[in-house]
Amino acid sequence: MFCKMTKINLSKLNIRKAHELMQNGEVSARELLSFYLGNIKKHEKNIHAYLEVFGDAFEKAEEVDKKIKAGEEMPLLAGIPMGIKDNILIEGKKCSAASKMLEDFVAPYDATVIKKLKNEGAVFLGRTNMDEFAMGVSTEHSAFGVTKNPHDLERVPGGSSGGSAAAVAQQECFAALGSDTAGSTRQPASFCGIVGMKPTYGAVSRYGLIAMASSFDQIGPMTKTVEDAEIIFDAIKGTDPMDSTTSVGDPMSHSECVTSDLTIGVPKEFFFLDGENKGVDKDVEENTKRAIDIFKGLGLKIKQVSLETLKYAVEIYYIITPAEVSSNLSRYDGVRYGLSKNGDDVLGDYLKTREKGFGDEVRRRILLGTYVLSAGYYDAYYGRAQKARNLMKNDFEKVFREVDVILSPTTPSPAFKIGEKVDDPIKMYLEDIFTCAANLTGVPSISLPSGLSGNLPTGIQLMAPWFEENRLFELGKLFEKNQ
Amino acid sequence: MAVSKNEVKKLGQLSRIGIKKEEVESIQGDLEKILGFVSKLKELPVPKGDDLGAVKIPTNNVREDVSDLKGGEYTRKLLEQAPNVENGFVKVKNVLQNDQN
Repeated sequence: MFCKMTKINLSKLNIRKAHELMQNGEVSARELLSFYLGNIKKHEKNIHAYLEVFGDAFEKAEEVDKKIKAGEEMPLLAGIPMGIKDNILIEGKKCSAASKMLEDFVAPYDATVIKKLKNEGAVFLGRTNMDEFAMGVSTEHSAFGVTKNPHDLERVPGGSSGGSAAAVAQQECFAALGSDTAGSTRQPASFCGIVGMKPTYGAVSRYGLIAMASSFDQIGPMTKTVEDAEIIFDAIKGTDPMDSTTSVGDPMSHSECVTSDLTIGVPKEFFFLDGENKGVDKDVEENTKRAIDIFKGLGLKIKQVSLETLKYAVEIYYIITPAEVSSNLSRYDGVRYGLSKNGDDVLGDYLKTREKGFGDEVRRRILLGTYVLSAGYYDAYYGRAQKARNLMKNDFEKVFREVDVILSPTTPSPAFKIGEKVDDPIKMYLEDIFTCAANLTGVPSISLPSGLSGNLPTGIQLMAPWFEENRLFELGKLFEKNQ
Repeated sequence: MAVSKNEVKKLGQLSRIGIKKEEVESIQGDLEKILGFVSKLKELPVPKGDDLGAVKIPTNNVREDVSDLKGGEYTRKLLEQAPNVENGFVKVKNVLQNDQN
C-alpha cells in the first residue's frame, strides 16, 4: 500500500528496529499505524480482540512524525501502536473492564502506566477484550463476547488479557498491555504464542488499573519478542506516589546477569525431569523438556527442587482473591458512576444494580469472598490462606538460595475449545496452577513461546527472585535466539 | 462443604447482590464445589495464632497527606458520571426512614 514499505516486512519488526526505521525516515508512524489498522479491518470480524478501536490514533501518529521531521530524537516507544487492556484508564476514553457495570464509564484520568507511555509517544490503537473485571482464563466471561484464538478460531485465546494476546498474535497491534492477577498476561501469551510478563509486585504502579485483587494485580507487557517486553517494562516501571504499594527507591537489580552461570530449578510439584508428569499434556511436556535441554546445552545447570506449598497454590489463591474481590468491587453501587438500576429503596437500588451489572463469575467470586471473610469462617479460610501464602513466600526464598530461576510449563495444556470449561469453575481455576504462585509470592515471571502442539502454541514460564527481572529478560532472549 | 439455601440468600444480602429464587440452587452448588475444592488447604500445617511466619512485611510508599489538585478540578468530570445529580450533589434515595420497629 505504500511504495516505501514494499521492501520492509512490517510484521517482522521489533520495537528497536521500528524505532530506527521511523527515526531514519524509512517508515513513518502513520504507515506503521496503517499496517495495524489494516490488519484490524481484515481480521477483527473473526477475532474480536478489541472492544473499541480509537478514532484518534492517526492524530497521535502524525504528531510523532512531525517531531521526527523536525529533527527530534524520539523515545523508543514513539509511534509504536499498542493495544491497552480494557481495565487500564486512558483519560477521556471508555474503560469498562468488559463489564456491563462500567459499559459507559469514561476514565477521568490517565493510569500512571498510560501517562508514562504517552510521554514516550506510544500510540494507543484501542481497548482490548478481557474477562469481566479480569476474572477468568478464556475471555468467555467478557460481557461483550468471546475473543477467538488466532491459531484456531474454535479455541479461546486464554485470559483474562485474551484480547491483548490475540491482538498481538494476529498483528492487530505492535504490542499490548495486560494485567496479571494469577497468570492473566502469561497464560494468554502461552495460548497465543507470544511473550507475556508479570513484573515483581510493586515494580509497576497500579494507579488507574481497575482493581481486582490489590495484593496480586500487576500490569505487564505482552509482545512478540522478549526485548520488546523489556523495553515496555522499562518504560512503565518505577515508584509512584499515587500507589503506596510501589517499591520505594530503585529496588531493581542492576547486577550484570551472566546467563551461563545461572542454575535453573525445576520444581517437582510442577514438573518431573523424569518419570510421570501428571496432568501435563504430552506435547507441553516435550516442549518443556526441549527447553530445558536448550538451556543445558548453553551451559546452565538444571536442578530439581521442591516447593511443598506449591501443591496448594490454587487453593490459597481462590480463598484470598475472592476476599479481595468482594471488598474491591463493593464500590460499584450505582450511586456515583456506572450502571444504576432502580429498586424500591436504597438497598433495593444496590441489589438490583449489582445483580444486573455483574456477570455470573464476578457474582460467584464476590459471594465466595463474602463467605470466607464472614464471622465463623474467617479463621478456617482467609486466615489460614494468608498464613499459607506466607509459608509459600518462605519456601520461595529458600529455593532461590539454591537456584537462580524456576522453570515450568506456563499451562498444563494448549488452548482449549470455546465452551469446553465454561460451566465448570474448578476446571477454569486449575488453568492457573503453574502461574498463580508468582502472584501469591510477588516474584516476577515471564511466559515464552516453547513450540507447538499441532497448530497450537505452548509456553514455558520462568520465575525469578523479587526485582530480578533482568534474569528473565536475559534468559528469555537467550532462549529465543537458540530455539 | 455444605452451604444452605438460607446462607446463599444471606450472602446475597451481605454483598448487596440480588439473587433470583431460581438461581439459589445453582449458586449453592457452585459455592459448595469451590469451598470443597479449597478445603484441601486444611491438610497444610500452618503456624497457630497470629504468627504469620518469618515474612518481611513490605513497607508502604507513603506520600505527604496533601493534595496538589485544584479545588473542583474533577468535580464536573465526576458528576457527569453520576446517574442522579441535583444542584451539584449526587442524589440518592432516603437513607433514614421513619421506622417504627
